[in-house]
Amino acid sequence: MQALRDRDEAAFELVLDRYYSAMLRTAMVHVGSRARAEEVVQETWLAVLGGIHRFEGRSSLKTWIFRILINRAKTCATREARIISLSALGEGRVDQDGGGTPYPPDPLDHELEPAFEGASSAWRSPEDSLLARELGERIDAAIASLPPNQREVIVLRDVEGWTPAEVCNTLGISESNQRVLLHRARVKVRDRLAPYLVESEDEANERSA
Amino acid sequence: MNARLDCDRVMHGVTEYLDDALPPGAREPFEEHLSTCLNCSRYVQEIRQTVQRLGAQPREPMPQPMKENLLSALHNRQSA
Repeated sequence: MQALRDRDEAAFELVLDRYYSAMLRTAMVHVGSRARAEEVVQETWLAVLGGIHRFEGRSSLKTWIFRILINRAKTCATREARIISLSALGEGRVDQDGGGTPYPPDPLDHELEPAFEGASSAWRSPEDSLLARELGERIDAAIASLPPNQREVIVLRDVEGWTPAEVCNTLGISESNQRVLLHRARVKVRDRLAPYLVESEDEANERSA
Repeated sequence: MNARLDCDRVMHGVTEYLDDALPPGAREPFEEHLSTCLNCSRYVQEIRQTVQRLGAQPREPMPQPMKENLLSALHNRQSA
């Protein structure tokens, strides 16, 4: 926080990296294409730099940054939905109702090279790294298929590890609403992943104990 | 009150359970059900694994070109 005020480069760089994945994933909930999401992230930081002197500290800095991000992402998505529907009208096609991703997710749009950290007990052998990569892609696909409000919550809570309070403050929803959305999202993702969730021997023994 | 939960209720309550946000007194019957119901305990475990796997999604740092743009924007404010 002080880094931004003091224009401390090294500290600023740390924050840029620390929040990048969460910001990109959150932007992608609304804009759909990775390229647009990257633009939104950059614009958000420019807005943060421009407005930091006005930040009053009533919310946490993280909440403030992400609220700016989400507003920009939604504005961007709305603007593009209008552009798409106008061009569709021009070609005689019915426009689609905006809300959610204006275009389908790019099938070639892989998040990145998976560096599989923190192996869960479900994966143990080195050959599984290929399976791990595939699982990571299936998770991305499962998340991308969720309705935006569920996707927002599961990305922040489960992918990024935010607390319920942080999610509620950022998204402006109640704790119970947040939990309902999270539940629905988790159930859907679990349903899609179920064939890939291998139970280790230890877990099986633990359950029957 | 002896609340014997059915599997439907347990499956619906799994997220509250994992957040330790079940209503007061509901945790014990919930865990009692899990200790005797193989299907539900497996289900809860699968949800746990799902959450765990979601949290293991790879992180990436900000791409260098973007970072450079933002650092120079920071610079510009410094000299402003």
